[in-house]
Amino acid sequence: MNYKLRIKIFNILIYLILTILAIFWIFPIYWMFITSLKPEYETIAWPVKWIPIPPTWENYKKILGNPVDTPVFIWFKNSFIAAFSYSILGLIVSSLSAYAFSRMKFPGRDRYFWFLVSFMTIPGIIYLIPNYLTIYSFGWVDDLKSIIFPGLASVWGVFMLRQYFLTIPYELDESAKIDGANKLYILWKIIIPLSKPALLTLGFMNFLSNWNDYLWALICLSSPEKRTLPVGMLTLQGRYIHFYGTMMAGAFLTALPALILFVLLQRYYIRGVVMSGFGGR
Amino acid sequence: MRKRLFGDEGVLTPYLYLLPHAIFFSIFALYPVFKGLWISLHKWDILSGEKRFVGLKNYIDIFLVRNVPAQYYWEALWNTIQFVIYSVPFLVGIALILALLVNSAKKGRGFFRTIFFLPTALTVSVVAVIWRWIFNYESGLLNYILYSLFRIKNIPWLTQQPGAWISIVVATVWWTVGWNMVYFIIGIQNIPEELYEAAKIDGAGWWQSFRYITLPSLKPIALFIFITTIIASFNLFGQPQLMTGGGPGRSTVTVMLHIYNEGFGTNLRMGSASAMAYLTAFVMIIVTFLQVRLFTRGE
Repeated sequence: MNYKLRIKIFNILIYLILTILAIFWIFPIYWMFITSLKPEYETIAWPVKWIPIPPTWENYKKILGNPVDTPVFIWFKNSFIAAFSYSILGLIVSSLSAYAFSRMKFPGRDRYFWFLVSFMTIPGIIYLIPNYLTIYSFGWVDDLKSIIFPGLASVWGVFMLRQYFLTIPYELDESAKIDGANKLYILWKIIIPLSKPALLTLGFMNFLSNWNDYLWALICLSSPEKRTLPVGMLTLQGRYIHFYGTMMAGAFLTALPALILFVLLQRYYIRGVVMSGFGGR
Repeated sequence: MRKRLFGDEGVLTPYLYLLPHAIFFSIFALYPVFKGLWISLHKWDILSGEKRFVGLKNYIDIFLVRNVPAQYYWEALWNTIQFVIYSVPFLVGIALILALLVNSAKKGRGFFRTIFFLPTALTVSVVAVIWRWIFNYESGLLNYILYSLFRIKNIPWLTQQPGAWISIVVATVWWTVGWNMVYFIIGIQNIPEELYEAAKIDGAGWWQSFRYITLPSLKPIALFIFITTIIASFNLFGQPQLMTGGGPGRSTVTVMLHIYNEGFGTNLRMGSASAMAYLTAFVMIIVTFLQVRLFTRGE
């Protein structure tokens, strides 16, 4: 067999394997969506129906039309407010710090920076109980503040933005300074616009991690109308445990915003993964 | 000239920029490390309001295996270690295979990467609900397929071992392997093309290039992947809580789940939960340290 033909067969084989794997990978999401479009008796039908004809919106109506027991819109609003506030505040807090670390000289700078970075190695399990007690003493239990503010202690954003700011030529600051710009102005008018990719990456990662956070939100938010979507799923499970069509409709509603955002912004997300020398998940 | 404290060139100005982060960092990262240690030295029950200094009693209790919470802790630690052993080889191995495959696809690389990375955008409660449905005993898809193809009778995946671990591992691999795949893709793309060309000239085949160039070049990123994956697996919480409820028996109660039950369940025993958290963190740090030693041996 000649070399070119062998390469060709090799390539076809790779695409074949990739396609099969891709179908397997996407299948659970497809299965969730398809189940959500089936009337309840059809979800458990043998033989299995792979495509629901005709699709029904019954399950979605059941969940969305019950704002007392399953206030999905309120959960959605809570999730959105928390994730959005957290990502914006995170960007502000991190970029102010990163600016000082990358552009200013002051005693103790490097020592403090590496002190902060060393905290990334401490297992998160340690924070669970003391932070809950802090939240408790602030009276923030069952309040969205509890899932917005603790995350701002994260060092990762500071670290990532500092690394990025360091790549911006210092001469730009110098010339702005000669023109009479002060530090805050330089940050706002020069550094921030030039760092859009990094800021977008960080903002999106912050948003997604907050949107999908489960354990901490589970601990902090207890009453049904204060929950976020991931924790609201528990309410759905409690209510519709044997109604798979309805459960899957709930799951799909919870997943959809993150999936859309992910597909639109995954370029940045992957960049963030790459830049996160030691990010967690 | 006297130095100014504030203003654009003030001595204290840099610290003002650091202040917002420093405030949150002190309250939610620095202080809790010490506070947690302090709590672990107390009998600290929120429900009864009891808060009494007991010294190392909480730690000693964990090692006195005759009390029940201590037994449960060691059992949970062992369950967690089992999960690490079951999941990490797949989370790393499959990630490497996916990365190699995706990377050899000249067209559609981004498409396939997106597909395998997509589940990471889901929250654990959605992941658990989907997989519980697929692994469902009576009408789950998996049992349906097994029966249609091989006449295998219904398997109670979630309520029997090893089915429960298999379910949790499958769901976890599907959910998170995309992270490791992306890290491996970056690692592969960072290998200089010249190395392969040189090997080709020397007459190396596909396998030899892989064995002597690709694998050794991926060692640093593999260390990073192993460490982050093991840490993530140690933190297993949502999947067993939502898929198996810790069962069958207590066989999928992990350390995180146990600490959660101890601290936030019916008892709200913060003192002993804290002691368990510190002990677990200690184990995790040791494991990480050993891995770094193992990987960098002989260098």
